[in-house]
Amino acid sequence: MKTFKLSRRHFVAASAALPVLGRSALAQEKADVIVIGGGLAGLHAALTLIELGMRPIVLEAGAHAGGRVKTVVTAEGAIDVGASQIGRSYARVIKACSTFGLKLVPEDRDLLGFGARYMDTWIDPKTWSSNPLNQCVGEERAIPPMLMGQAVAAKYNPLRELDDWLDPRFAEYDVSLRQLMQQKGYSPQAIKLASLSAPGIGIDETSMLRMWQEDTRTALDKKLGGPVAQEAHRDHPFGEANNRQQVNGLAQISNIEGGCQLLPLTMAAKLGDRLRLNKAVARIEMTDTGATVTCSERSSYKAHFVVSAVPFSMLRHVEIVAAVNPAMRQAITRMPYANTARMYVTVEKPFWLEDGLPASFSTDGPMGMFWAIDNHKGAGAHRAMIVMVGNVAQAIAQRPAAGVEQFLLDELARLRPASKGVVKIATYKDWLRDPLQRGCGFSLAPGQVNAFARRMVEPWQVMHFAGEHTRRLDFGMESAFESGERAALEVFGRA
Amino acid sequence: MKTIWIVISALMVVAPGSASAGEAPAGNPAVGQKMFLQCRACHTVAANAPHSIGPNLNGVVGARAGTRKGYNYSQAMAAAGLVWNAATLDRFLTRPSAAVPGTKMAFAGMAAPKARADMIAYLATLRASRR
Repeated sequence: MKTFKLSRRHFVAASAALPVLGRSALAQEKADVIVIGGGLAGLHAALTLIELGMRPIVLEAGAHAGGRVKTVVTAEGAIDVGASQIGRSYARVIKACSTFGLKLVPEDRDLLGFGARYMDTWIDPKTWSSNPLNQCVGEERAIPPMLMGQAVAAKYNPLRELDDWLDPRFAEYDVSLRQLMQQKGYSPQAIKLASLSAPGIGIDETSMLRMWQEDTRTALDKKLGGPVAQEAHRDHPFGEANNRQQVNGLAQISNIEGGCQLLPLTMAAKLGDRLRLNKAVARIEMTDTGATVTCSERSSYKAHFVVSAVPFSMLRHVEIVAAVNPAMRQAITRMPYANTARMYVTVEKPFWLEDGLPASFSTDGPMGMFWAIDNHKGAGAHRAMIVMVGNVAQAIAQRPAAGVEQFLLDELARLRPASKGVVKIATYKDWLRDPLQRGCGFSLAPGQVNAFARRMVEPWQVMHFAGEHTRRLDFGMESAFESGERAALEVFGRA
Repeated sequence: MKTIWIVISALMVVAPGSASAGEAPAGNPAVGQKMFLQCRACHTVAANAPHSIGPNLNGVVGARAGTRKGYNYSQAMAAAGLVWNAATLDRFLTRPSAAVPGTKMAFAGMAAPKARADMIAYLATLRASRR
C-alpha cells in the first residue's frame, strides 16, 4: 500500500466507497474489446479486430509483447528460446512476416548423430536389437530405445482429418500412452522405454488425442513439401536435418532473420497505444452485455467484449465474476501445462571427437537430451543445447533456481568427462519458472478431451477465448494466429 | 458498382430475398469481403495472381473443383467431382474435412449459415472482367 500513500483512515473510507476492486475511483477507459495478453494470439486478434472496424485495447502483463516467442541477445548472438520454427503450411505466420517485411531464412539447426545413455550404458541404436539390455519382445526389439514413445504413438494414430481429434467418433482414444500400450499388449520394458520418450508431458499425463492432433497436423506440413520431398532419416525423436529444398520460396523449417520476437514486436508497434504494457489483469467481471477488466495496479477498463488470449495456466489466477459455467471453470483450472527447459551452450572444442561417443544423445537421467548442432565444418566451436521436455522438464523446474545451470554442466561432465571446461553457457530458459507463462504449452490429460476440450472455445457470456490452447486445427505459432483470428471473427459476428 | 451487383445476383443460385425454409439466407458480399481476411493467407483473388498455399479463387463460383492449372491439389479434391455453386460451397465451408475428406485446406469451417452466405456472395464477385 506504500505506493498509494493513503493513511489507514483514508484507506478504510475508500474501501467502504469501493466495495469491490473493480469499482475504482479512477476513470474507466472504454473500448469495444479488451484483449488480455500480448502474445501472438492476442496481438493477431487485436489487429484483426481493428481491420474489422472495432476498437480493441490489449493488456499485457509483461514489459514486452511476445508471450512464448522470445529472443534473448547473448554474447553468442540472438537466441530464440521460445517458439521459432515456421513450417511451409504456417499460412498466417508467413503472410504476417511478408506483410511486416520480416525475412524467413532456413533454420540452421541440424543435429549431429544421436546415441542413448540408458541404465548407465551407452547404447548404439544400430546394435540395440542385439543388446543384452534389450528385454523387449518381438517387433518392439528393433525400435531404438529413445524412439519407443513416438514410434508407438505414430503406429496407432487413427486420425486422418485435422479436426478428427475433437470428433466424438474417436472418444475411446482419450486415454494415456500407457493405457494404449497395455491394451495393445506391449512388454513391460517397452512401456518403461516409452515413458522416457513419450510425446506430451508423459506416459500417464497426456491424452493420445492431444498427441495425435500434433502428429496429424505435422503430416499436412510435410504434404506441402510436394511429392519429391524425402523424409530425412530419423534416429532421435526431436527434429531432423532441415530439408532446405525451396517450395514456394521456403525450406521445410524457417526462422525469422534477426530473431522470432521481431514478429510480435512489429505487431505491437502496429498497435501503438492500443497495446498497454505492464498491465497484469487481476479481475474480470462480466454480464451478458459487457465486462469490466481490472488490473492489479487498479486501472480499470470497460468493454462490450473480452478476448482472453493468455494461457489457462495464467487465467486461473484471475478472479472471474460471471454466470455459472462449471465446464469452463474446469477447463481453466485443470488443463495441464507441459514444460520445456533448455540450456543453450557453446562447445568450444567438439568433445565427441575426443571421446568417440555420439555427439548428441538422450539420457534416462535429469538432463534429458544433449543436442549438438552441426556447424557444417566438423572442427571448431559448435552450438549445442541441453534439452529437457516432459517429466524431466517438470522435475528440473523444482530444483533450486540458483544451482540449476551448474548442476546441468556437472551432469554433462559426469556422463562425458571430455566436455569438462569446453562448454560455455549462453543462456538458460525454463518456461515453467516464467511467472507470466507457467509452462511452454497446453496439454490435455486423459479424459479431458471428452470432458471439456470440444466446447472450451465457446464464449463465456462476453468473453471469447484465444491462445494456442484453443487451437482447433493448427499447431505451433500458427495455432496462436488461428485462435486469434477465430476469436476476432466471433466477436465481429456478435457486434 | 450497381450494375455489377445485378449481374452477380443473377448468377447466384439463391437470389436475394428468396430464402425460405431450408434455403440459405441471402448473402451480403460486402460482409463476405471483410470476412475473407480469414482466407487470404492462403488464397489470392486477383485475376492473374499466382497460387499460394491454396489456389487462386478468381472465378471459383461455377468452376469445377480441383481443376485450376498450376495448383497441386490433394488427391481428394482432384477427385471430388464437384462444381462450385452456392450449395456445394455452403457444404464445403461448413466443414471442409467433412465435405471433402482428405482436403489439405486447414480450415475449421464457418458454423453460421449467414456468414457462409455472405462469403459465397463475395466469392461470386471474384470474376475477371476479361478472361
